[in-house]
Amino acid sequence: MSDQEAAELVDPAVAIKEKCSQTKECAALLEKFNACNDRVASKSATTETCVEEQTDFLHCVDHCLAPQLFKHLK
Amino acid sequence: MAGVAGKFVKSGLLRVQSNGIIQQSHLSTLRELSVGKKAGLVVVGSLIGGAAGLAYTLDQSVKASGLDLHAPHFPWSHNGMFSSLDHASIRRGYEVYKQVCSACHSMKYLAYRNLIDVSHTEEEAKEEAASIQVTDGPNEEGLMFQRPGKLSDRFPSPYPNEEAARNANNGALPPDLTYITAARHGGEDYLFSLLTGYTDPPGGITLRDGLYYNPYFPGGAIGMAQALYNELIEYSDGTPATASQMAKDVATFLKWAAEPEHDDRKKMALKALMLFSFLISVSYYWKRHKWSVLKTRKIVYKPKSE
Repeated sequence: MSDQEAAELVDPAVAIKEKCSQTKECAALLEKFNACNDRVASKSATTETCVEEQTDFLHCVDHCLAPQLFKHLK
Repeated sequence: MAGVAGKFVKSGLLRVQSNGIIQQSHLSTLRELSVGKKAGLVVVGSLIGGAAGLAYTLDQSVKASGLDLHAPHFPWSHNGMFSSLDHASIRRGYEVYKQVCSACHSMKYLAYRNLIDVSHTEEEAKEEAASIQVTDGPNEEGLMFQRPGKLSDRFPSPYPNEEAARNANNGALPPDLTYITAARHGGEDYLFSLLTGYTDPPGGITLRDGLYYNPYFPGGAIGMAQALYNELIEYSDGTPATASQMAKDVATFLKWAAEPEHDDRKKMALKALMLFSFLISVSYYWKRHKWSVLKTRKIVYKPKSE
């Protein structure tokens, strides 16, 4: 999405999500999520999944996003 | 347990009566038990308590690792107790449904006449209806024929039956959308999050062919691909058609479809509150008025003077 040209339409949600994932709480969860992804990818066989980590991270982003987004929509 | 305790206490009380001596100690149920029995009771009690604690903890841990992500509450303009739906948004949402969703999802309980005075004028609704072809008949020769739609016609379904729908969609059935906000936990919040929430599958998750990953969908693997992209359609009112805007509009449209009485209901609530608060104050005054005589009377006991 970042390589879009200026003339093209940009979804306000993208920038807000980006900003939200950089807040203190969400960044910590994102780090956990990324660490989990790396850990799972580094193993040849594992039953571990990163669903929970992703859920926690997205939950954090959502609650930051929800009050802001509709102000940018009609 | 209470019954057992009661029996002990009762027998103690009975004995007190029969002996004629007050024995406080007999009122306690535990004093009569031997040390072994007491220890047994302690063990049973702690086992029950421990089991309850374990069950509670397990239950909590199950909740914590639920596989679906709950949608956040969005500040919809119709959230307020007396707030109506955004009808401009309903109209845009209809455009999104017609141009995007209707390729796979039916809305078979909605007719074109339902749009009148909600999102379209009667003339516009007639035009919308006329743009579809409906099988009608039989005519005088006993044959079915095609005719342009009328206001009384329902929205056309993309597939003739469930089997055809599953066959065309990898075995997944696109649900009918008429009552979908009422039929899904989270309602329009869920729909908005689902439509805008597609992600790559997280580590450790592999998807079958033809499945996509959406953390809001229970289980994560969803048969529907991301449907909304920026500038996918062009709104007739010129609103910039970002993916979020389309998701918001179509969610509002579906909210209206599921609860067409929404605005009337809230208006009626306002009327009812005004009327009933007036009637309650009148009846309260009337009650006090009627009782004032009884409440202020004085009853006097007057012994015969002798």
